[in-house]
Amino acid sequence: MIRQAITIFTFLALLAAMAACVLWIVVSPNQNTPLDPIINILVISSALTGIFAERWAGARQHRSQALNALATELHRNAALLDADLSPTESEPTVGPTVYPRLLVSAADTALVSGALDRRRDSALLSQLHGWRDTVYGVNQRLDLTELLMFSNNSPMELRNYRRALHSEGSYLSSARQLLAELTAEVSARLSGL
Amino acid sequence: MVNAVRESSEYEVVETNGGRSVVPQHGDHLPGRLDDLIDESEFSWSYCLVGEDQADKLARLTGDLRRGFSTDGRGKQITSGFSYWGIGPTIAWIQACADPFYLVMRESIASFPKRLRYVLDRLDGRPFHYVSFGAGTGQKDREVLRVLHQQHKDLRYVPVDLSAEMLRVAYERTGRIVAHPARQILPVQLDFAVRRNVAALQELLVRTVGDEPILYSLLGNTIANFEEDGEIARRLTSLLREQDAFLLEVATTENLSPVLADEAAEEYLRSRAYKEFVTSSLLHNTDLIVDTDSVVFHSSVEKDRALLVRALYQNRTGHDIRMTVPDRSQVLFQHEDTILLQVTRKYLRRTLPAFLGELGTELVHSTHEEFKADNPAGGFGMDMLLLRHDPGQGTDGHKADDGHKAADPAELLWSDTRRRSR
Repeated sequence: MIRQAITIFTFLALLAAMAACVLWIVVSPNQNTPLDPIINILVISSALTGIFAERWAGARQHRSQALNALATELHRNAALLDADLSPTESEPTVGPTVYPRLLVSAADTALVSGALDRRRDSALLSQLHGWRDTVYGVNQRLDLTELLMFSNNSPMELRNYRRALHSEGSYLSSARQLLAELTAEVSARLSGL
Repeated sequence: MVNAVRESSEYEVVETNGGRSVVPQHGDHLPGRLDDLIDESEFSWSYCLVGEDQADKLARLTGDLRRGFSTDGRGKQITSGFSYWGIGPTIAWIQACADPFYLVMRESIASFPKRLRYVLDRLDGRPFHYVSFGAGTGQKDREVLRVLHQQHKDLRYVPVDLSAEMLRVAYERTGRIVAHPARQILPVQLDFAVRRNVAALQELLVRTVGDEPILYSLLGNTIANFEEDGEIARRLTSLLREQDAFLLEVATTENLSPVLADEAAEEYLRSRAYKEFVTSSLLHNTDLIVDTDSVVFHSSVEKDRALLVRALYQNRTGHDIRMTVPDRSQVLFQHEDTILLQVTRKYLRRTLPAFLGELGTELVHSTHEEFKADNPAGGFGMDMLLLRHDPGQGTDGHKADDGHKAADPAELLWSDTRRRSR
């Protein structure tokens, strides 16, 4: 509320100053060269546009940083899914496994920092929300799987868990698909910067 | 002699027109006396309760062989059950089960005891009687009986099959598991694909074992041999009461594609013994000179459900043949015409929960055994599912709340239920 009041006051003050300068030129026709009011108008105009320019530049920088951080995190997640969480990865045939977890901090930051534009990046934001839910789901399932594997480590149970984890319709498979879509979206936006 | 018999109080002497005869006393039941005879005799007697009108069956088979021309098995056919009808097909099936080139069958049988014990652990040692649909050679039933007999020494085993010959084989293979085969094993010759027959069987079971729990089974992917597999499975699982359980074994695939369907067909194509088995019913019921090279396999994909393989016998002689059918009439078997010998499927694993939901059953436990996964898309396997009656089902057999049942805790944990709504 106070922030809004200050903003309104600032803009109103600048606009009022500009109006006063215009009035100055109009009501003081005797001046041969009304440099003072003209200079003041230019200063006030640049102050007004400067505020927006600085804001846009800041937003652009934040967005670029968020997208780059996201791209890095997605790349690392892809590496995890392709290697440590991949069905081709040779897992021990006996005993339980400790799995790596998917990373989500950059996605969290991108969502809470407001670095992404609500209008321009609405599709990306929606995907990020889905991705974040999926990562939390995967990590939670990995927790439970490890717990169950350690508490009941009969070879058949272990094999069942590994098979379920890597099956085509598994949660992990959905995560891979979502990750590919999100990576493509982020890359497209980075190339447009 | 007569006095001795009288003293035993089991017999009495009656006067007849021909003189005096020694007969069992009134109230002494024939089945009880036969039980003793079968158990004590060294001759291999066995019971078989016949619930089929053989003439009806023969008429049906004849009718099926009279159907029209078709190059893809939609005309003439030998429906499931008839494939095992008669001693020839029975022996051919025993040989197919032992064929080293019939890999899936061999591996399925080899891993069966291990998978069975894992799944039946969930019966918690409760005593069950055992009813086996499509008992086949009794090889798998023997393992089931070994487990159940430990908990219930007085269990009843009821193998149900259309083929009396197959029942005899099953009886011989399982007889030694129980102490009193005659009293405890009751082979029933019945086509369980017929609704009326299932109702009759239900009455028989109620009168035989009352409210005691029954474990039903349909093993060896038998359900996949029926064109209307869903309907048959629903009919059989409708027998389930609260105290009963159902053991279902199905062949599964991780994916569906025409390439995988071809691979599934290839499995059968490799086994000469399997081809001899599927053609044995032709030898038994027609006068065709059977050539196993004329057995062709048509593979296809049932959308979101299964890989379907049809074993067909095709006239590849280059000319029309006159074929004699069981009623001794002749049927024209034209060049390139086909006879459908057997249908089989490999069910898509991830849609099994939905399939089970439609049956009105609830999954108790399951196991999956993967066979020779030669392709990166995922191999074939066998799933053994222990089911029970789902009280949450509506009377129409469909789930009231479309609940999703996962195959086991691992499946429950990792199956992505959101996929359907995407």
